[in-house]
Amino acid sequence: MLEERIHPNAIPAWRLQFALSGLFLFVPAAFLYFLHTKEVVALEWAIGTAIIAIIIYALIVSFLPQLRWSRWSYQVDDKGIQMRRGIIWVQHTEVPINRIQHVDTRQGPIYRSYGLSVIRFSNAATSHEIPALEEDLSQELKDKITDLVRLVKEDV
Amino acid sequence: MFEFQRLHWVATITGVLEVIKQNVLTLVILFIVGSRNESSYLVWFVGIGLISAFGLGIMGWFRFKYQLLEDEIHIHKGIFVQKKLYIHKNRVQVTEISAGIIQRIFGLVSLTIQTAGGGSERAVLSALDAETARTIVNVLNPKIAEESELNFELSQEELQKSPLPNQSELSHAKLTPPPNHQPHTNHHSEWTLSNKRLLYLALTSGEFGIIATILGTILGQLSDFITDENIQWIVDRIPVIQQPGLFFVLFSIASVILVSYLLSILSSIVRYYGFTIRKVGKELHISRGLLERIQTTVPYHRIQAISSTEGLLRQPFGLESLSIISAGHQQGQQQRSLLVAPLIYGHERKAFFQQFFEGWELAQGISQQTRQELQDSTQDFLSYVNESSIPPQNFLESNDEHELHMYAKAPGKAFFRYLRRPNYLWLFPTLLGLYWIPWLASAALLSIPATLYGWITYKDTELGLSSKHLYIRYRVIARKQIWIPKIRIQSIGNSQHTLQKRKRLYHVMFSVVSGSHELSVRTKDFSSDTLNSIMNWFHR
Repeated sequence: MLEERIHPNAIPAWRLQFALSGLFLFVPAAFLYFLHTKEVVALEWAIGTAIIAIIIYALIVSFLPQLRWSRWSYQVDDKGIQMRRGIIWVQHTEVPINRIQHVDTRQGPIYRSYGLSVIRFSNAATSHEIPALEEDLSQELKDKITDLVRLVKEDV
Repeated sequence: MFEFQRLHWVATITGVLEVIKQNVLTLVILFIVGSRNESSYLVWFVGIGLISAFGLGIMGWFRFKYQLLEDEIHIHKGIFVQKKLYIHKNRVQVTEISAGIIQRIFGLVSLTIQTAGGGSERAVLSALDAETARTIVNVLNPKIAEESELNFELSQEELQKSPLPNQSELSHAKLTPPPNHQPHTNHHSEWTLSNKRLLYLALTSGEFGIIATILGTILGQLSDFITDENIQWIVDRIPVIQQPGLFFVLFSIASVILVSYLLSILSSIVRYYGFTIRKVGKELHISRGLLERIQTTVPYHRIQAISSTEGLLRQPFGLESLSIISAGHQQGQQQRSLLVAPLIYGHERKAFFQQFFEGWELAQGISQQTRQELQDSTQDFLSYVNESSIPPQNFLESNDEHELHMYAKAPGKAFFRYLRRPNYLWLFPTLLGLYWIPWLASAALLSIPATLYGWITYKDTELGLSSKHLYIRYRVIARKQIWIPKIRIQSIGNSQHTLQKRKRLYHVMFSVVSGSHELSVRTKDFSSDTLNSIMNWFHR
């Protein structure tokens, strides 16, 4: 575990996010089924799959956000930004501070209602994100990173 | 020079051809669909398509204007929406002057300017006279003119000091210089692909697989041609054949392979004929091509990494190809890397690096001897070649080994993971399919090649660190080696699976810029000690 954790509000925010994105999977499926009622599969099969799907859905929505939050940690210092995340595949990434090209923050409607925002920093090759930081903190972090970059900048 | 100009009118021709080329897939699909039904509206489609291609080509030329300023170039283009592209010399990654068939007929060249970043950061000036192209390149790369004098003396001295051992062999096939050859170039160092090597290159290029797939697809469409009469006609002429059905299948497979092999040979020769690489001041100039002469310029400080690929057909002969990875766009080309030595012997690599990539460490990779000694001397296949930890007389005799600070292999406890991993590829689909198709069980035979592949991968995976460079050898299908300067590593990462945790093993990832994306090199199942030393090295 690294020094900093993301904001605990991430848990309800993700829960809402997962719940909503699950609807995108369920609604079209249900719609399609009622459109072709009983033509494609028998009713027992349809109900069976639906129940299994809903159980998985409920499990994901109730437990995954908590689990994901507990496995997310990060650290920003003058050497670089470190991130550690993942439940089964634990991933650890380190971006040296002098490779960072730009930093931006982002906020969707769900995050806004929970007072959270995402900070994203890009190097020449790709970009990395730390999700769900408190708004003020993410601004602070953005300034900190920009300052650090300015201090150590060498043209790459 | 300082006002807006149009390209030569020949740009209309290339413009039209470009539009047609971009839509060739649509045309082929239309053709295939159209050949199935008899109606004539296909002709109309193609006709309208061709006319609009002409219109777009001419309009594109009319709307394309460029202006060369002191240290940047402004380009206005776009038919319906005008795009303004301003490229400053500080942002140019790679410039490329090429002369295709059409340009050659009119004695013109085409200039491509590549910058970094995602999107349309690639300017093509498709018809210029050679002199203008040179002027633009010189404006965008001012370093050649300034520093060529100074470097010339230096490299003369170097050349006398260390002549390349097999220089005579390397440069015996001197080729006529390209038409757009600038007068003030001082040839400091030069390496030419001899015709003999070009032939080897063509014979061992692994491209025929791709061509065979395309040919096979086309052949599938030629059902009109493959009739019983035609088959009978062939069978009648070859009397030995007893089973026409089997024979025909074998015959068509063999001919597809043969034809695609010949095509791949031809395409390699066309692309790499007269390959020459020159070091000019702080830049690399690469020229190649038979029908289309291509001249690429890469500033040294834009090189992100160097990689070497030993194809399956080349590795037994000790042959490999070297390419550089840069942030410039190579969208049109097949690969995003730029070949600097299409075919070179492994033992020549060191001399090549000294000639063109001076200061890159661990050029020779890690010698068998070092590997052996390091593995014997320590457990866990992890060693430091620092003065402190290991007595110097062991393996610091030759000069190269001074560079090696650390050498690591996947530890012994990772061996079975390496053997197992390729087996999952067939195992899971087979288990899934076994319920319906029982004879799938015979797929278990695949475990032999898969395990063998895993074993070879384990043997080939290694990593070396010098003070400034990271060296990794790994295998996907071909064996690859990559040299990344420490300052070019964009991010470094590791990942650990639940199953790896028990053995304290990690995958380690390094990412470097390539084109507009990242190239991520991953070494699998390294020990936690290795990981710690890598991180220490990285932070130093």
